[in-house]
Amino acid sequence: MNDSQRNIVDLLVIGAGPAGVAAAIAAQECGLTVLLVDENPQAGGQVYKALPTGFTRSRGSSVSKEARLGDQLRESLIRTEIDCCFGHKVWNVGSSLRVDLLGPQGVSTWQPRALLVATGTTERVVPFTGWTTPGVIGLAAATLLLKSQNILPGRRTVVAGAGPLLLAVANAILKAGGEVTALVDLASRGEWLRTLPSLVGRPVLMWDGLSWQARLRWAGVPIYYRHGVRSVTQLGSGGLCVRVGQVDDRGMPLQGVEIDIEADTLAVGHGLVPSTDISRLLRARHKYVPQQGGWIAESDEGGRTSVPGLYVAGDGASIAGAAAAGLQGKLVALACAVDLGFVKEDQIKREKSELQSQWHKSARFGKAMAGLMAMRSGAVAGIEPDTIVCRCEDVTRAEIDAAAREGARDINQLKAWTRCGMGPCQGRTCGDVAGSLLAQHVGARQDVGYFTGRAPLRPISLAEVAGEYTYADIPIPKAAPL
Amino acid sequence: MKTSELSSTGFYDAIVIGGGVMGCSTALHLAQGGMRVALIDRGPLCREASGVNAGTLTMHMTRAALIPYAMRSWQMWMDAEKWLGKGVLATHVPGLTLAFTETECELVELRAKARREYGAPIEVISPQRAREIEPGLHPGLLKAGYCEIDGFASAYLTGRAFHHALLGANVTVLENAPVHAIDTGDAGHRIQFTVAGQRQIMTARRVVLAGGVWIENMLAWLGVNIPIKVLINQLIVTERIRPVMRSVLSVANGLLSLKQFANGTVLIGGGWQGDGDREHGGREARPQNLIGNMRLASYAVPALAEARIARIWLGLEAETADAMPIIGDVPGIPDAFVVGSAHSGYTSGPFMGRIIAQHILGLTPDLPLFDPARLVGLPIPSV
Amino acid sequence: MIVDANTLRVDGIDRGSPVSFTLNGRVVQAYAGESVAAALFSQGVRTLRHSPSTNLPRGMFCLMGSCQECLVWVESRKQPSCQLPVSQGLTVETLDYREAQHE
Repeated sequence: MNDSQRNIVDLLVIGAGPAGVAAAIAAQECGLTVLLVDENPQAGGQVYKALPTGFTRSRGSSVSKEARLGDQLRESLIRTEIDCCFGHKVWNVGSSLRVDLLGPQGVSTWQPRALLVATGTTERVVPFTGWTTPGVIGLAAATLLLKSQNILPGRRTVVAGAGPLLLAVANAILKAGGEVTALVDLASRGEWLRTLPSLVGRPVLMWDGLSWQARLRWAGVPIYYRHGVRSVTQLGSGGLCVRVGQVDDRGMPLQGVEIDIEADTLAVGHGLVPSTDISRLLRARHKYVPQQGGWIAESDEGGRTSVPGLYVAGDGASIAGAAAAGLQGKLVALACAVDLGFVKEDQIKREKSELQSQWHKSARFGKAMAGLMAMRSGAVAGIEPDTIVCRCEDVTRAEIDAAAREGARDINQLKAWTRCGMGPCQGRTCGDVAGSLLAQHVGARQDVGYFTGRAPLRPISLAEVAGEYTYADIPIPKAAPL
Repeated sequence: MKTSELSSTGFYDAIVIGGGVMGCSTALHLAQGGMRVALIDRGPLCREASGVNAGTLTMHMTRAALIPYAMRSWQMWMDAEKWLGKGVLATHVPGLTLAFTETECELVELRAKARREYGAPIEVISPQRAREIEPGLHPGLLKAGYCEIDGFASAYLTGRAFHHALLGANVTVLENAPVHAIDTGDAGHRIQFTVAGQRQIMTARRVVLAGGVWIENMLAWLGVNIPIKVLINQLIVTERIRPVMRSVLSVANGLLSLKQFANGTVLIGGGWQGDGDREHGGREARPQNLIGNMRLASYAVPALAEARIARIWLGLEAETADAMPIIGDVPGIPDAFVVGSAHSGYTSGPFMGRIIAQHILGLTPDLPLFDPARLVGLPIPSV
Repeated sequence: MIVDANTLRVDGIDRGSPVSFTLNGRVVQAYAGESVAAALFSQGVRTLRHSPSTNLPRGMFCLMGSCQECLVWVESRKQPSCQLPVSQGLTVETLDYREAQHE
């Protein structure tokens, strides 16, 4: 996709995962001009991430349901001829909803009438001693390695943390012929059983869950329920020693036996966090809902945020799973089409009502999983003082506690006092945990707030912004007085 | 701040409204002078201009007439550990102001001369000499102004430093406590504010308005009309990069400030304007001005081109109608004072807080104040 | 699906052409299109940089371009290696290596 002379479009969708793609197609069907933007080379988001360009599945090899859904999603984009900007990062969004992109050919700008942010989630990892050791990766990272790159995370991998990704990663490793040295789950068996009602009416998911459990048992994988990772240390051989111990139902480490497990790789994750970079940058109102992922933009059932023209959909709006995301994408596209005057509310009333009821059914499972992934206060409370919390800036828990004791009251004040969140990741990796730590001193998590959104949304170099120029090209405003 | 301390009305010798560097310095010096002082801000200390500025401690970009104030204040920043306790990593390095065109060469000469007259040791040097001081400069450099007295601080550390010092000096510090009104009468000033959802009142014999761009609103509480201009300055900081510069750099047209901190990050400023206003604060950067600022920066130091930007933000800077600070008695209101709105206010802040405090304490200020009366009703000149 | 016993690469996939790239001048074998991060991680190269204050080893973590831990240099661009596809002759340098060049 090259720049056009007039980069104007009715709806710009950021994020080509299930929500974004569904929204783009539905919007185009309503007559809107649409541009779909994603930093990856192909559509699919994280959940349906494509194989690397140039890779194909071997003839005769089994194709997972997920892979098939991903292929269908990508095919639907080609079939509907949606305009796409792949390999483009959004580095800034203006209050007029102007979107600044950085692509292979440099920077470009688009001005949509409406902006849909469907950027999904990032992974939360609650720190523990040695979590920054090379060889420790996220569960979502392990999923990407397995599903997209088709590479095992290690010869021997410990899979730890909480949520559905635990089982998914362990299963994928076993299916690929690798070894799951141990599965370490903050949840109890009981917590998993309590999600069973959400599987009612979803026989495929139920079957997946049962077959995954069976596979784990058959492979003899040691499973430690109500356990968490205490520490990771590098071994002389180059491997890792993963120490695990019991935790209570809040994730707080308990006194008791600690078990040392040797492995090459630790894949660990404690839930998914909705990406709110753009909604925070645009100063939309947010609310704190742990069962939906934490801080999320306030939105109505049409995905409308408190910023006119800004919509959100998918897991980035509220965690409800991939199936629900696709349905929500459609709903939001319809809402946008009404708002922009392309269709009338009563024209889409029936379709909307059907989609909503389908969404409720689909979301049930995703929401139950989101519940399992909600941050556990005990896991945060159990972080050792000398453990790094902000990876970018090397800020430890002790430094955060000291700032809190000295009087830091909100997360942005904490940032100014400790540099926590000032690094290149802009607090995406540490924000949840840092906020929770501060809240332990201040009170309610809501009162601590969230990091103020700032451009650039992803790091961009001066050269990339400045482009080619001579000194005379610099637009110099009036010189300062003497 | 414990709520139990608030429930009593508390009569203070002085209440300072506005917890930026000016207000904090004023409060600290008043307390050290023996007064019972409260400092109140609608947010956390030093989170507006004082916490988000470029931290440049330079004579090059300070208005010529303010050089004597800036030089004394520069020394205070360098000695911050002595009077502030925690420092702000104030670092003494030389400063170069650069000329890349003939017009800029003339500006360098003019600006150096004007500042020398006020006591700044600025000399004009050749590009060769400039490159000895700063090897990474653009080869197209024509001329430079050089000042040995220059440097920078990490502005974001200022809040924590003052917080610590003020509590140590027994100043009552009230953060996240917006003030609504001031009632002035025979009993002194009654300050109405809200904290933790509760309306409260504090009374003091004296009130000091140190609200930066909001001085205009504060003076309005007292029925005084002095327009204050609001500048919305854009700032850019890079990720940590290898050492590429070791001085503070500016350009003769006044539109660039550049410095590299010990942690390797480079802060790019220069007063390029973004969008925002007094009511809503800084809203967003203007893309053209981001491009301009970055071009100027990567022109001056070509090695910066590869650096990735970590963050862009905005800060509100105050300016009066005649571009000189407003420091002194609030016209027509007894025991009411105002301090602020100085260009390069961060550089001069500590010293300006000291002199207004001296004045309030009945001492002779180290340097003359800037009578607010001159500004009453004076409109901001249109561009 | 059976894993090729010699590498961590999973069978059942027709990969892009086998290519080589360099990391700090050292030749690394991989397949065109894989991410540099995945290719290196699978071969046991997991340290890419060191942390700012504590100088401890850091490497791949989120693999989705968010955490900025797996940064590398390719010519004048610093970028996450998890978003950098392998191509024949790609010259990749770690941050420490590039910095040492300037000294």
